[in-house]
Order: sequence, then C-alpha cells, then structure tokens
Amino acid sequence: MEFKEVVGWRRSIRFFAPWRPVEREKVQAILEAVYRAPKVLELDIVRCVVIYRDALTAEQLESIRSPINSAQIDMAPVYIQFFADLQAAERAMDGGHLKELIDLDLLPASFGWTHDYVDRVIVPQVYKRILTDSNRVVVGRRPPLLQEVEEQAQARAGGGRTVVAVEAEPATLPLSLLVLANTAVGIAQAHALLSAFDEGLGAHLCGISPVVMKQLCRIPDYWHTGASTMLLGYHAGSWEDGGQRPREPFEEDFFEGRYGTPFVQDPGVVGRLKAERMIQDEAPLAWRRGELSALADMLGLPK
Amino acid sequence: MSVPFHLLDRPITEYIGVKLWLEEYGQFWGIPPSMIDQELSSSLLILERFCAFVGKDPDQIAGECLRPSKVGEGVMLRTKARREYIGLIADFERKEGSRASGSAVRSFFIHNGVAMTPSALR
Repeated sequence: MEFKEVVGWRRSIRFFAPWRPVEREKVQAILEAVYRAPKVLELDIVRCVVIYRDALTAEQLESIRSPINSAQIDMAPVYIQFFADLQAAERAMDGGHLKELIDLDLLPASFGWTHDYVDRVIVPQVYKRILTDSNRVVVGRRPPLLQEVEEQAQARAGGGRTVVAVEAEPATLPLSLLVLANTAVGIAQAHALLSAFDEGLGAHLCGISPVVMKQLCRIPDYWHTGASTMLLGYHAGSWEDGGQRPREPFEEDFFEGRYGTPFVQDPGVVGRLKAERMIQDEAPLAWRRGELSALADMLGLPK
Repeated sequence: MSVPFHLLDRPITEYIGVKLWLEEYGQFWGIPPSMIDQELSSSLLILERFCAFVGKDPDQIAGECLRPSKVGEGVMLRTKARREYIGLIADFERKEGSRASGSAVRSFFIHNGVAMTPSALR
C-alpha cells in the first residue's frame, strides 16, 4: 500500500475478527518498523513484548480485562505491549553509540559532531542532566531493593540479617527521563500503527493496567510500563470503520510563521490527497449504524 | 419467572431508568418512540427477570452504579458497583442460558450511562 493510503486507512479499529489469527511474519514486519523508528537522543529506549491471546491462560486473560475493554481483549488475537527501558541513558553514558555513528559518517563533523564533543558536551550536559533532573515524578510504587531490606532488618534486629517485609516506596523518575521515554514510545507506536495497516491489519491503542502487563510480561524492574497496549487483528467490519474521524478545522491546529497566522489549506492539495486516498470520506457514513448492529449481533455484544 | 410485586410497584416502562433506556436506544438506533416498546418488548421482559434475579427495581440498580457528583452537575460512576453488576449479569446470562438475555440487561446499563462490555463471542 502507498504511504498516503496507509495514513488514510488508519483508524482505531475496535472490531477484530476473533477467529482469524495474525501471521507471525506480519507481527515481525511491525516490529521491524518499530526497530527502525527514530531514536530520541539516539537512545535505545523502546522495548516490546508480543502477547498471543490464545497462549494466555483463562486467569491471565481475565487479569487484563476491564469493564470497558473486555470485548476487544477477546477479539484481538495479538497484543503488543510497549515499554521504555529506563537504563538506556545510563548505558549511553560512555558515549560509545554516538561515537560509532560519527565513525560511520552518520553524525557529521559539519554539524559539530566529534568524539570530543560527545565526551565533553553531550554526555555531561545532556545525558547526565536527564538522569540527575531533580524534578521527579511519582510513577507508582517500587519494591524495596534487597540491600535495603537487609539494612532495615539489621537496624531492627541489632545487627541481625533476618529479611523482613518492607513497605514499597513510591517510585519516582526524573521528569526529563520520563518525557524522553514517553516520546520514544509514542514515535514507536506511530510506526507500529501505520505498519499494521500496511500489513492489511487493524490496530488500536488500548489502556490496560500497566501493573498487570508488567506481571504478565515478566519484565525487568527498570522497564517503564506507562504506555498503551496495541491490539492487533484483522478487521471484523469494513476498512472504512465508520469513516475518517472528524477533526477540528485545519487552520486551528497549524500556523505559518507565527501563532495566530493559520496555515491555510490549499484545496488543490486536498484534492490530490483525496485522489491518493489519504483524505477519505468522513463520518458519518449512511450505512454505519447497520454495520454496528450486525457486528454487535455477530459478536454477541449489547446494543 | 414472575417478578415479586413488591419489587416493581408499577409497569417497568414507568421507571426513570427504563424510560431513559428506551429513549436513548430509540434515538441511537433510529426507532420512532411509537415503536420502541414493541422493538424492545422481549428485552423489557428480560430486564424484569433480571430485577427479580437481583431483588431490585431498575432505578435502584442504575442508582447503585451512579452517584451525584460532589462538584457541579452530572453523576459519577461507582466502579465497584459496576463490577458487581458485571458479575451478576454474567450469572444471570448463565442461568438463562441465553446471550441475548445478558445483552439486553447490558443495554439497559449502557443507555443509563454505565459503560460495560462483555466477552465477545468467538
């Protein structure tokens, strides 16, 4: 499919064909797109775990349900959970990956990139500042480290080594690191979504409890779990899915030169993009209610 | 199953929650008000049986899932009550042996502002 058409056909698909599995090679194609997505500050942050619905136990499937996502969890045969590896910036503190890009002629000297610049500027003034940002945000509760447990036990027992339960402390992250992580995951998800439609699939970003997904995927503690889960499957309904979603006027979102000067849509460009199927018929489509009714009947959903 | 008279002291269509259901359902699916009772006649009987199943009338049921907002107008969803009713609807569906029974009751909740979806049929 041509790129513009992929953009045009993307919707948040909520009705998947539950009986039709997604081929593993299509999942890999999506991951290959994520793998090649832009890296924020050249950091290797994004991680994904692919979950196959039919490989889950009944208890596991039940654990990820919520009152409003239950049907979608059943319909989508594949879930891709995105995570952010929070140790990415620490691992980059030697600047090795940037120096490799310099040596490969990908970060050119014309723009100031040298090994010395990496060592003296980027690492201490960019990476280190991110990691030491004193503006921290609470992102949940973290379990105590074993060392802390032992230290507290020692203190309580007068030098003993008995391990005791210690209440979990609030987990905080430097705000700069969290912004970086969320940006990286957002870019990755956009690549994954478009790639899914390019592979002939439908996809939807769905909120599932991060705590549950962390347990289900058995991820390391230093992976952040704030991102939505991508549900993946074949369309149960039409690709139109009710039509393109209405947007606020183009000129309210985009400006030219400065805020307040709208970037005015050129009707000629709009016409070309319609011909290329990036711009498609907008909701409501006359037959959509009938489709919703039929889908609800087919899948046993309430109306 | 007949509904004990003390649960429903008037025809089920006279309860506020049921009126809202019929109105919203009719508007959404394009069914004229004059035909909505007929369209949902079997669903109304199912809702009566659900009321008997839980021992409450329709307005009590909807009211348990929604409470007036402490700030401003509108209502707040009581998520714990919703979870309990999701379980009760599943029990009712099993008892009746009919997916349509569960769907009818869920429709009543949904059009009263209590969003919920069941498992999808595969």
